[in-house]
Amino acid sequence: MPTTATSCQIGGESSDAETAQGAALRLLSGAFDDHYARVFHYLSHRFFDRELAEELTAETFCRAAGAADRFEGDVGQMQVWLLRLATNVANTHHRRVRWRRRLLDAFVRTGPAATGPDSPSGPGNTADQDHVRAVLQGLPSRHQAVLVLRFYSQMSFDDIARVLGCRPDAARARLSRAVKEMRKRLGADDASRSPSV
Amino acid sequence: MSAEDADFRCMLESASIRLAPDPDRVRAAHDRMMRVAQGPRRRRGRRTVVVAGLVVVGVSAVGLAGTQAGRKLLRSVFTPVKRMYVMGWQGPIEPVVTTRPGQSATPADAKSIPAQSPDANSTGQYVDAVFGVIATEGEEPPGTEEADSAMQGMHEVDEIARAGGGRLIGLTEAPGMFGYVVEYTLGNGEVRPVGTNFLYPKQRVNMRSDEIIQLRRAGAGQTISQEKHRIGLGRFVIRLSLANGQTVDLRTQYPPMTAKALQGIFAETRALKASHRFTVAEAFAGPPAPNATNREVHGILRYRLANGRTVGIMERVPPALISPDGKWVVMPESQARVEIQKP
Repeated sequence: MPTTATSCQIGGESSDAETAQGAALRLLSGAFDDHYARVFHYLSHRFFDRELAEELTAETFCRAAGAADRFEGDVGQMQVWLLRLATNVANTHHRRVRWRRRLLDAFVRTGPAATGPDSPSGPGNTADQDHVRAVLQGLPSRHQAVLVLRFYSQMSFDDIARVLGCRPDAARARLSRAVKEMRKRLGADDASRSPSV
Repeated sequence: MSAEDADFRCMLESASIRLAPDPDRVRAAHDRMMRVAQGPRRRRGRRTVVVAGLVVVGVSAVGLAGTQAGRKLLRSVFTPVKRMYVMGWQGPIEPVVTTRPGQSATPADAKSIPAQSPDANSTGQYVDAVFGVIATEGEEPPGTEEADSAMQGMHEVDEIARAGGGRLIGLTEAPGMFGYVVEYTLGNGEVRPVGTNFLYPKQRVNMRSDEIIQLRRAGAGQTISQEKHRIGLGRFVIRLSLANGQTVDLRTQYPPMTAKALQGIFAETRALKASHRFTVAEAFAGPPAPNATNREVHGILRYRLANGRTVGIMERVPPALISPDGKWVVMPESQARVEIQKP
């Protein structure tokens, strides 16, 4: 459903509450249609897990519906706002499962946490791809977010800064640190794997 | 972008995935979002209420714990409820006897009206005595065990008293009778003060109560302190010096004066009462008497004596001064009204 890029405030005070709520619902529904795929794509690359990405995407839009009154801006900024919510949802999930992943890592070096039927791990995926995904998921969530937003969502530093709630310079610096960290981990892993290759 | 950065980008992009969302799950997510969106105000309201409640609780907790008044309130609220329970113990055999010095107590005295009673209506009779009272404080009334223990203690007190034991630690006087506070030390080491208006013969000897009464009736004693009071001529503490060198402090409502002078005051008040020349400071209805239509009304009657002093006596109000509805005491001359307080 296309939406017009007019200035609006979803939950703004209105004398006609029902009209305002109806407009907010229409706007939310439109935002869902416009941005679901984008948010799903972002979360898919945060976790490389289709089931989890769908669940977190739904959670993101539920949060958007609950926090709609705090959104101020035009429809064009809706995508950034939704991705900010998605980042928070992903970071929260990441913190929740971190202990579990660390526990698993302590016993066996694994790839992506999920390997369900729709998981990208499979005959079509090479060992290097899985390894890159595993290293990416092993990064701190702040590094994950900036890498995924930059390289998978193809966002500008201005938009990344708005999503992460920082200045563009800070986003750029954060990306630099994330790349450095990932290179370091990839190199360390390559070194540790080389004897067995 | 450097070559190294381009390699890194290529490496990451090679790990990219192409996933199409499941249409059923997309629809379910849309419905879920819309359900949430249709109740945003309720959610906000609930959150506001929770936050406001937490703020109120926090501020209240700080107010309670951070101030002396708050801590006092907490202590009073969370302190287990304690009540005062009073157990009376009936005197064993002997009734209260008011004797004059030099007289011996006889059973006939038991129902006699106290010799110095000022009440012209003469309604008070002292037939039995509550020999002792034990007051306990706790969450529950004393049980059988406590009651048995208390009774056992009182029996022990009685045995000590019969043998003339105990130490006189307090002496009071109401018109017509003396009250004694005697301290007993029980076998288990417990020291128990007991108030009584009856002393066994041996106690009267040991505590020199007859000498005390005699001194008092002779008008002896030195006023240690006095203050105004609506009853009697005030509140007095009179120190009596006994022949053995001991001193006893008597708390009374009349200054040192002879028994004859005191009787003269009472005789004068009886005459004033008969002619309704007094004022009523306070009046209150007593419990309904059996076979009586009206309650007896007592009060503090204040008389102006011939010497100019004013004496107050708590006694029965003449029924003639009570209004027909039983609510007022009406003085015949001044028509002054005093409301009768109900129990």
